[in-house]
Amino acid sequence: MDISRDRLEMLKEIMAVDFSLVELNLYLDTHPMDQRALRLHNEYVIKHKMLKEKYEKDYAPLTHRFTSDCPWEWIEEPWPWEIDYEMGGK
Amino acid sequence: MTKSYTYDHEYKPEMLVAPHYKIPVMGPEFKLAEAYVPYQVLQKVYEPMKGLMTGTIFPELYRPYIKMKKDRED
Amino acid sequence: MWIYEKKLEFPAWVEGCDLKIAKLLFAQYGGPDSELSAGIRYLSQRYTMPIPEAKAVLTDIGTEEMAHWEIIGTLIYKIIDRATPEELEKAGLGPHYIQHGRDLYPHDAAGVPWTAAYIQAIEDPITNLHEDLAAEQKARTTYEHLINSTKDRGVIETLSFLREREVVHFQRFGETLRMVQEHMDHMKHKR
Repeated sequence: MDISRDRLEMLKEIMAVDFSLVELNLYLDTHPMDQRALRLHNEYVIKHKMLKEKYEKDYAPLTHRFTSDCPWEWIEEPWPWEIDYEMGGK
Repeated sequence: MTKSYTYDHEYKPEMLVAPHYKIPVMGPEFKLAEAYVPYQVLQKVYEPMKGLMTGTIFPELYRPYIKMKKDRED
Repeated sequence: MWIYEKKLEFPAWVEGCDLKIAKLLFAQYGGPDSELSAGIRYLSQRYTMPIPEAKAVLTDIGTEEMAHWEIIGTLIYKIIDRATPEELEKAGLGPHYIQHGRDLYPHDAAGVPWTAAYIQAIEDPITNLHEDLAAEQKARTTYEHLINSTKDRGVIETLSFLREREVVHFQRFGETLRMVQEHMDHMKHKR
């Protein structure tokens, strides 16, 4: 299923920042005193919050913890396995 | 303190193993019958999109897969 | 607890309709060294870990493995969704189609259903962590076999991402082992 170009771009940006957060999360689990890593993590958290807020306002919720219009927006398609991420470049 | 295994400084493990295997000495704080992976220390990180496409944000942990000759179909 | 985030960890894609690799991908969906095995293994071992760093690592990597399980499911779904029953049969997915239609189902590449016998959790944290290190290597190797078995660019790119994750997980489990070793050594001498 396709979503708009702009929405797909923003979703990919969020995926990228969130992946950095996952990597730093695992690194910090085994390096809890690494202040450089903590600084990076905190910076990325701010970026994540900003992107998530904009995406959820403009497009669709990422978690169920959001204020919804009627009907309940959480159920809307596409679901993540249905999106054509267009990575091959058509 | 546990009694550590200390090396006679002239009797190195690398002398006991065939020379094409480089087995560096691990100091007395490392114990026999235990496995050790070196600890990573954060250096630089990839930009988020490059990190995502690579599978890690840490350049020193990037191990690209290179097909062995017998696994290649060419 | 777990809540669901409505996005994939990686933008999984397929270039064409390689049904042969779809069948083989079940190895990582419900096989012995699959993402499912990894997720359940780590999430089962986390309760008895003696140090907070280890509880965190096992919880966080276990959670990420379930996200990987979702990616494998997505790859398989994207490939088989468009296939006819005849095409599925020709690719060796006949038995799966008969018994499950185009639903995902946790079995391996040969159709053998997933079992907890694929995992172990035995309380000793040194032992558990060695099981985890081995699991990451087995998963990495399985990904390499899968990458060797397709030319689909999307599948290869997605599997390369998942393979690199196994390398990073191995490193984290290695670091956790170092901490647990130090902890156990310290505890031994406290008495």
